Amino acid sequence: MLKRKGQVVGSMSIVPGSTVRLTPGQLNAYTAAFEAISPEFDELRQMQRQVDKLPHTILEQPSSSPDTVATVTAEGIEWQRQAQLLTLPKSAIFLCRHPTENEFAIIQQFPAESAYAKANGQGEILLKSADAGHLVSEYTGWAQHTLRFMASNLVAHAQRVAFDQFPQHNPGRVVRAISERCLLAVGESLTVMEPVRQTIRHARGIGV
Amino acid sequence: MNEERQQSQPSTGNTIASTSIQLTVSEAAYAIGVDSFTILGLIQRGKVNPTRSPSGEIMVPKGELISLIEKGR
Repeated sequence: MLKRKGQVVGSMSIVPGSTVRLTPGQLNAYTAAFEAISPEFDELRQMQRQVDKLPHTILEQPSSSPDTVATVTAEGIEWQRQAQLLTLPKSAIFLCRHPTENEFAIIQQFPAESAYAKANGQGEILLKSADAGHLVSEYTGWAQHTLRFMASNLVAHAQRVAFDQFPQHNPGRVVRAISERCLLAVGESLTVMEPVRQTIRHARGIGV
Repeated sequence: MNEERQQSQPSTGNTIASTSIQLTVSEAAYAIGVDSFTILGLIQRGKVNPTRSPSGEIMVPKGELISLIEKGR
């Protein structure tokens, strides 16, 4: 039986979205660590799919007649909804137009019952501009950055599980596999891998 | 609120100690009725000041959430 550093390497596995080969013990560690971030990872992927479509959102939205236009109240103004940009698990992001001025805003709308909305209002302006196209473009970059931030944080969470619960199974290698999968989920291409030696320091996750 | 975690000193049961409780991003989101994406957005916009766990994970002090939902900002 072929072993390296005391671990069987004869039956290595590759997990989705990663090039890292894992021993059966590492695979168990990977499964446990990934399970800890699984709900948020699914949310991340769903969000990324929506963000990928953002640049086309304005073009695809049917124009509403002034009589049927929905509004979102933010900062005391009833903004007119132009397009729904993102649907989050507990809120939605809209491109809105000022009712009387040539101004657009990206507004996040929360359900009335959320504690955050009760304190801050249901509509919160994230960005404003007179140019709707520029605004959506700027928001797309901002949302993409938030998703990378989210991916980085998921890796850090998984790292804690792997190092706490599976210290004997080269958790750095396990975290590297998870990091690659999270990077891929937010559209980052895989960078050149370090091929031979793995140490704990090599797997600190991804940073934003 | 689901699982809460204290990273610094043990709670002494008073208000100040309880605000030192640190929540993960998903716990913080659950606590104020938003999603993780929103909490990270609030951090990016400087509305919430997080800390980091030893593994680098973002933690949200409970006191930050209390400020956010009691006063608005």
